[in-house]
Amino acid sequence: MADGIPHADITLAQLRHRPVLDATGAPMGQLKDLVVLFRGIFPRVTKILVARPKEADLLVGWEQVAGLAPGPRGALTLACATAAVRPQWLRLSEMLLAKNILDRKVMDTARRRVVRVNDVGLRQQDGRYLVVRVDVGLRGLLRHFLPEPVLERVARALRLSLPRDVVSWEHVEPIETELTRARRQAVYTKLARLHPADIADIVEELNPSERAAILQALDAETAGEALAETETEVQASVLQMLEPEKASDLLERMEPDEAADVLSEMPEPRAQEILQGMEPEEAEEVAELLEHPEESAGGLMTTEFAAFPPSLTAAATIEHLQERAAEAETIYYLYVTDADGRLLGVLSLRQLLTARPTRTLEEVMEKQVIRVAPEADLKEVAETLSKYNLLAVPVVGGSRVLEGIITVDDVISRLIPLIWKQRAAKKYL
Amino acid sequence: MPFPRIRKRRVLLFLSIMGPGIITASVDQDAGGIATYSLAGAHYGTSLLWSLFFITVSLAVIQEMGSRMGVVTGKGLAELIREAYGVRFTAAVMVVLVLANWANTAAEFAGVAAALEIFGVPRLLSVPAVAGLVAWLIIQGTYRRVERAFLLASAVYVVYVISGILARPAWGEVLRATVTPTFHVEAGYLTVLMALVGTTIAPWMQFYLQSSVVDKGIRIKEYPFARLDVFLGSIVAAVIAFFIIVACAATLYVHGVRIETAADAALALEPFAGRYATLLFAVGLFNASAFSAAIVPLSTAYAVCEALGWVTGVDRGLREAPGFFAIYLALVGSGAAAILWPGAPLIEIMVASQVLNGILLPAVLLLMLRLINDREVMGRHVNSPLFNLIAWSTAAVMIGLSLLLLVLTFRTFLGA
Repeated sequence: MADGIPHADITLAQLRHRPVLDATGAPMGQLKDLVVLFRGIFPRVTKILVARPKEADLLVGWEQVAGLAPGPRGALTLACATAAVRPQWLRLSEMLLAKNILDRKVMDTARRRVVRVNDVGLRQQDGRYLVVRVDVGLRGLLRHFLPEPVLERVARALRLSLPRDVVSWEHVEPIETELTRARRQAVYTKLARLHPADIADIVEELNPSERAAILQALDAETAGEALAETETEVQASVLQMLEPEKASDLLERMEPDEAADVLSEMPEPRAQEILQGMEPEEAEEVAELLEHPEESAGGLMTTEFAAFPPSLTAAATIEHLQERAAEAETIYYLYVTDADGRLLGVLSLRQLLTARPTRTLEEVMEKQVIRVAPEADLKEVAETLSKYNLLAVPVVGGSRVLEGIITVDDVISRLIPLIWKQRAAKKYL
Repeated sequence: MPFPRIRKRRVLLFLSIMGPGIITASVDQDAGGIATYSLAGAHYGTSLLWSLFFITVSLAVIQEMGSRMGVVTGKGLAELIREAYGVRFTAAVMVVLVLANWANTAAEFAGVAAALEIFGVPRLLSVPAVAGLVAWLIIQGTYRRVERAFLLASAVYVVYVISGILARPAWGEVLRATVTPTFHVEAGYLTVLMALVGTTIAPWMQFYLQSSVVDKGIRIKEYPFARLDVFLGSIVAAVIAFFIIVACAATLYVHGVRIETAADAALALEPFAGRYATLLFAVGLFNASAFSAAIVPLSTAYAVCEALGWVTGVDRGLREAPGFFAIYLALVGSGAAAILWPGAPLIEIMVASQVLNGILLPAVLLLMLRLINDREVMGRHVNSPLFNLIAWSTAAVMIGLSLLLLVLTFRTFLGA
């Protein structure tokens, strides 16, 4: 099929409830479910589950299936007589398809959304069936009520188009909740490959229990990055669902100003608990930021900026920068401070790189620094950044000490909700 | 460590911490509730008070079950039904739910019409206006802010408690009636009894409660607090219902006043508010009805979309979530339209919708019971034998009452 979605020969809805006959033609029961093995891109059908009247369900290996009769009610025939059927058991990497995938929510990592599976598409290959895609659209839903050809005729008669919404199995990631996660250690490889902002999109579509389960299953770094990209309300709700140590761990991976925002969305005892679980230096930075009202310059700023003494040469500064570049929020502006932390000047990265290596920062820096006070509001900060075409603006207190910097991305993310009136995904309360 | 920023948000957080149990208790006092409790007191005096005890116990148990399912599975009721029973069965359940909730929505608009008619506003004006307002609120996405205002306003029901006390009922008789079950095999009595159950334990509320619980994100470990909140909510709902009945019994029943219009029911507040009784009642009824006129369709739309896998969300636009908004607007529109039918009897509609709730309750209960006793779904948090007993008994009693009422109704039709 075009657009990269595999073609399906038959679907689970079309297979289920079909009669199962043994080699002699005697009815054994109905096809209740398929067992698939997770190996390779597309899971393979390895067993079938037969529902029998008056007896327990029977697992039969796929090798024992002789054929499938055509037509919507065509029977599945086994290769041997009922008495000779050898019952099977579920292996570790096998799973029942209808029970665990059909009617459940899954993540579509291609379109970064959460969808519910209405049907599962299978393709035949070398005598075996592979799970190739899931059907999440209206067509898959209606297939449970009417067979496909009838659906087509009705749709044409009513002049409606039944959109086909399918997701290739390569992009499907099933979802666990707090309860099921304990039973099967899920590894979300497909999800982890996405950009953190895309993971955040998916995570925001889930309910708190599912969010917590997924973030706990991802490795700490990916989880932290994804969490940092979600809305503050979502962050707070997720962190409250996690164990305090895990919550502290994830919070440490976020920037201090973001961490402060999240903590202020939580009930105080909870916030205290998580704060105390963090590394002392990180906790202190966050605590400092919590002293300021949220929408003031003090609340928006981060304390991770690059500052150097005025006597340093350009060459020496570049060396230092190479070591410390990873820690600062931005290195495009370098701030020059005295021994007490008072702001003396600023220079851009461009100025640093183009200056003669032996010149000191004092000679190169711009002494007239555009700044804002910690009490300045969001509007003033945004206007300052815009007016002077800055990527970041320093926040300087009364004592002329450089308290922090505000980067333009933090301001933009605050302005977007005000402009477009968006909210985090939360249903009732 | 003092954090001014954290403390400033505490006031707002309190409102959002208000548990699903307390919220459901407020929502319990919708148009159908007020009408039914008032009618019960006015027409039968204190003789139906005994049922409140049993109803409250059932309510607490059933809501606890819904709340537990929400916390443990992290899924709403409609979702659980879909995952356990597949598309076809779920679709059937949704059809029934939509019909029942249509009746409930109509009842809410009946309440709106009745409340504003006290001020002389004709229903042809009030109903479309409120329907439009409620539709606009959701499309606009400002629902959540307004919700808080509505919930705070529903605190007005405390006036029934005060009124009930000021009316000086014969407390001896009240207390005796509360603990002495009486039972009349009479169609009117049975109808009101069923309506009492149906309005206190409404099927749509079970879907609403479980979704609210899921949305709050309560950890399994913290569940005991959620359970406490649910029990408290049930008790609050019961207390308010009790005092509405007592107030009506003491003011209306003793004077043989039958409730034909909302103004009659308002007289129950006279001991408290004197000549402002009708005003106060109208305000309370309007608030409850308008709020529920938004909530019932909203919860239905959520349930159906959850079950069928359609995009939900007040936060998404009309284009992104067409199914959701279609269901919501259709319910609001048809509910309002039902009331605009010339001569629609408002009080009767309000009570009849609750009787319907009572009839459908066993179906929802049976579904909940099967899900909550399934170890695959609930792990080790399945029902205890006691809770099973109470829930099963409730279902059995309601089925019994429905059949009895059916028989009695047929007898009257066949000219007995």
